[in-house]
Amino acid sequence: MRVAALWALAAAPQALVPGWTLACSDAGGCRQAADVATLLPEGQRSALAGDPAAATRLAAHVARPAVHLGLATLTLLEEGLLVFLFVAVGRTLRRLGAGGDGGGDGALARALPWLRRGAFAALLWSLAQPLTDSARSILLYSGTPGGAAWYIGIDLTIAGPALLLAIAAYAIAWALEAGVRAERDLADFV
Amino acid sequence: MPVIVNLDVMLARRKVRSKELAEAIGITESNLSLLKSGKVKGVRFSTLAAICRYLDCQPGDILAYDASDDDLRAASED
Repeated sequence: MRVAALWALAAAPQALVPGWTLACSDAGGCRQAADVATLLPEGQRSALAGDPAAATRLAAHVARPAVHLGLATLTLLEEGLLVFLFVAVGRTLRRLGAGGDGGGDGALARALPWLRRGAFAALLWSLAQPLTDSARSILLYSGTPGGAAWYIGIDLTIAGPALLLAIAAYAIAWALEAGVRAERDLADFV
Repeated sequence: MPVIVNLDVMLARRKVRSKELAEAIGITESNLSLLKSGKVKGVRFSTLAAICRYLDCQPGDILAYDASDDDLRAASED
């Protein structure tokens, strides 16, 4: 739960200040920066690197309330799902660790619904990743020299394995819940 | 579910107490009580065999059935 709270705390500045980053090192300590260009795809980012005027125009575009709200919503959606995942995993572990009625079986039966919810949140996060990346780029493109454009970016490097793991976790939780239900039914047999 | 459990009748015939039967067949008294009142979901064959062996009877002496069309629907819902 503390991890979830820390993650939410870190996500809040990112939602309020698009492109906000915090970099810490031994030599220089912690430094924060706000560079909206980091939110753009690689190609657009390098085009802006050598054009300070374009970077200024982009910053002004991002400062518009509608764009700012759109970017904040996308960040909150992504980070919100991750925060919920942390909460679900935390509650799963807490219920597994707690004793109570029925001993091990009771703890498992109480923990599994939270495991299933966490897996579902991970599944949604994996599916949302390409969509939020694309939506973010579409919002920002209007402030770039190229102007408004559609952008559909599907990078499965992170989302692909995450999606597979989430489906596997959901299937495992589902199977375990079915097993616990069947065991409960059998327990009514004398 | 009109499966009737006549275990208390057989216990009376054989003059065996519930506690004695429960200890003999290895189930708790509360489970035996639930079985007598017909409030269990099912009976294992091993339990039924142990009861019949101890009371020297047949399953039909302990269990009876009242025909009901509702049982056909119940089987498909399980």
